[in-house]
Amino acid sequence: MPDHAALNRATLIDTTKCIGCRSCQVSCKAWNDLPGVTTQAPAAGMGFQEPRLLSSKTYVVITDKLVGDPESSEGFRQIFAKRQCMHCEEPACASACPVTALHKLDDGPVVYSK
Amino acid sequence: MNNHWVDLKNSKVFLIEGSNAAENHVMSMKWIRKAQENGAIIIHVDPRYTRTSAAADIYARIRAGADIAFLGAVINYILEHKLYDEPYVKLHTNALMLAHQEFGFEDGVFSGYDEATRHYEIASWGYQLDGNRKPKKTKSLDDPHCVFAQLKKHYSRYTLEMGSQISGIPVETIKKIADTLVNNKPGTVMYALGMTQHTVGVQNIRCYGVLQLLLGNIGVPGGGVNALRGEPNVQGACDMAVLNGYLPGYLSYPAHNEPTLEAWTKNYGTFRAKFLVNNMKAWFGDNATAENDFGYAWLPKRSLKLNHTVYGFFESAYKGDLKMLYVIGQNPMVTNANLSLTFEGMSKLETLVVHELWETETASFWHRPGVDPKTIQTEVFLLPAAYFMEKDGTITGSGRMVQWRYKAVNPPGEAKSDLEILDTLFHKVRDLYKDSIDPKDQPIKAAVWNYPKEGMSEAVLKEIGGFDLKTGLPVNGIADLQADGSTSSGAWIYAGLFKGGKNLTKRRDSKTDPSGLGIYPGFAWTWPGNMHILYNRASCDEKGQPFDPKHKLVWWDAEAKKWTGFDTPDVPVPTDGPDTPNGQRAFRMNGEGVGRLLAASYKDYDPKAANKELPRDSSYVPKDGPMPEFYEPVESPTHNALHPEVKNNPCLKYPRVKGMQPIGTKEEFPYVLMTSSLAEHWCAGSTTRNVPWLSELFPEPVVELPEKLAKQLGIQTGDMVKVHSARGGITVKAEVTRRMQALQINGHEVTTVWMPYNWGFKGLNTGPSTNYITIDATDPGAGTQETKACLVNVTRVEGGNRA
Repeated sequence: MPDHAALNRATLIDTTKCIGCRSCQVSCKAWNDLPGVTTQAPAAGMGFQEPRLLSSKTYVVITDKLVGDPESSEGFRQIFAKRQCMHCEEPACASACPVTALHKLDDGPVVYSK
Repeated sequence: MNNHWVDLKNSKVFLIEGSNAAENHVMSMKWIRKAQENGAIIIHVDPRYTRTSAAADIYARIRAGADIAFLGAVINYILEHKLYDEPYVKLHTNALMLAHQEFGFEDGVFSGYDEATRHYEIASWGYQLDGNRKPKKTKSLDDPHCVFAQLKKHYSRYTLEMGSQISGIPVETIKKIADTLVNNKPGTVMYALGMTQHTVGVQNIRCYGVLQLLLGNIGVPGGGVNALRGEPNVQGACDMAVLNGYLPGYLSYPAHNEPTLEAWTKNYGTFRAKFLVNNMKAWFGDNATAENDFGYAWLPKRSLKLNHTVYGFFESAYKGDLKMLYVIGQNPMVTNANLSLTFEGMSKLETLVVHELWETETASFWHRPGVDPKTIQTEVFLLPAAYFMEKDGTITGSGRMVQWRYKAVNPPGEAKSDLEILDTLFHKVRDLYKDSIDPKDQPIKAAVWNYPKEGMSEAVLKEIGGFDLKTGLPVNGIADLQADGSTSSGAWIYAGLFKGGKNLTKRRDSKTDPSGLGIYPGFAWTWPGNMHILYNRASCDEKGQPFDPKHKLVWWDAEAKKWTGFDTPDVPVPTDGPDTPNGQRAFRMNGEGVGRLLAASYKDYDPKAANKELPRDSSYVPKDGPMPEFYEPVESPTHNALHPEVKNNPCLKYPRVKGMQPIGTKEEFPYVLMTSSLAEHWCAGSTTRNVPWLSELFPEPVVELPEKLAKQLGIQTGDMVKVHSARGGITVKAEVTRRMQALQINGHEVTTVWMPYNWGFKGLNTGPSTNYITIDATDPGAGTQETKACLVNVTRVEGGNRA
């Protein structure tokens, strides 16, 4: 484990409380001054998930999945999860990147060179 | 809301029916999740499994339009098994009052029905009266003549099996929901347009009133019947008489058969006439005197023969009776049901003024796709308006909290605040009339209208709050308002928001909450009189002491000889104790002073009044019945299982315009369509569809279909499908989802599909408008359209794109 681990702070996102409103997606774009992108709903199995993927223009996506649950009256549950850069301790993306565009900084964040 | 947003945290159970709170009132979930952490149970009843269902503990899929069948079964279960709160029901409702001997319900209609006019004569909906014209009371709920007995008799037809057969909710689930409501108190009811957009909308909400009164859930923290209002200031707009039948503060708007103030008072009582006088003093100032009825003759009278709702407008325009329309903050070319008729009506106007942020579909109806602008002669004016951050003033939220908001930036270009536009317009109009002696122009000449250019919105708010006209100082509350013209108030329910000369809506004490219940009395100001929980006297017993001493709200302080507590006590006079009639009027806004299981016709007379002919107060009666009864939607996939001969609301009048309002049959249009708004787009989408960050989240309208129907029609997610009704059709992409499911109704399978209605042809993100499909049949009382249930067909568009 690198030395900077002790300095790192983490954000706990309790997805069991998430209602899939996606305000976090919008406020992320607002704070980071990111553009809206063209999307095309809907796609099978993706539910409300838009944009479909993270990108240089979209740092946060809430995924929307129906998962089987025999205990529920409908036989499924709708589950939301927040997808974003997790700023991993040992970012696999950085080690996999062939052009070394991704880096882990000493104070925690994983960043990329534009 | 009877209660308020923060109070949701005090609930032990939530019945969310006719609302998709998690998507359309997102912040409510902040308080619901807090309650859930404390063990509260969320019940969501909806035809569509939504993000609210995902957050719920119990989800019940109901057929669109079958709410009264389900709630009637819950009510009957509670009555039959004696699961009601007996002390509360006896003390705080009209259960023990004796109903009129001729009251009854037979063959699908209540007593007094006239089939020719589709109208009820309501005399038999009253009480048996004593010598003082007060309702006679019995001591026992078992008395066969009392209101409670009538209620039991009425709902005895609503067995669990009947409720299930009509609504599609399994018997066991209805029972489980009823038991959950009974065993977890306090419980709250949350509803929105899913409950109101029906031809039985008023009666849907009356079910909640009956249910919550039986459970003793009104007037207590964590209880109430809570309407979640869709637009930030829609509560304020309704308070200020945006509803066609009302003056500010929900005083009935004078009608053609009420030519004098006395005639109005005979219908609505001296209690309300006092507030009307204060209203007219605010409008006409010194020109309003006792001698001229305070200017009552100047108020235009509405004809009870005409339809003054937004649907009536376009129908009048279509017939050529309405020449000019002024639209502010509304986009009917997207939001009205049966848009083809709206368009035809609009095309016949001579003049249209739209006062808006954007060039909306309404402002540009004359060049909508497929229409040759040369065929439309309407002259259209578009006045650029300011956005909420570009003007100051108050907004009133669902919890009746009036909050001051400051202007952050100046409006762009020539855009102006609504107030500046209307102020300029009024002065121009008055100038044009300055030499007129025509009586119809006199109210414009007599009006007091001299707001300063600087601080205009605060001056208007002060006028709404009211003045003591002798001292010129703001009044301190409703109790200060006088009937003799010595005070004024532009909306009596807002009286006192400048108490002590300070603008209380600017207060921001978010730290002090002595109750621990989330009341925060020093944060902004809540009408009436900074009261956060309406009917809170009902949280106390006969002696004025809290039923639940662990959750005290208000109480009678015998030593101080006054009502006191953590909230403003909801009593007629704070020093009238439980040993006086006033001290037992927990529902003082009803003539009877109690909650009404039967919405009886009743006028309350003060035996000491000088004029014996004028009632003190008059209770509101829904025109389509004193108790909720189930009727099928106008376009229904099935028969009425309770009374096949009377299928629809007997007071319904539809079609209103021959040839323009066709009714589809289930043979031709086999599926039920329900429509709603989205978390991502608000209402007509005029603003939200111009925000790229919101448009990427929900880029175009869709139709949600169950997997079974999709398979049957050969449709997959992303396919283009046509959804069409007897009125029109549009083509959108399909979303095939397990969240939609067919139901068994009266022994047959009924399939429901869903569409959002937020799109139109203007803005950054355009799409077809769902309201070309929907039906404009309306609730007989409220005038709200049945956009939650109509019949459609769904067909695959050959060669349609697949995403």
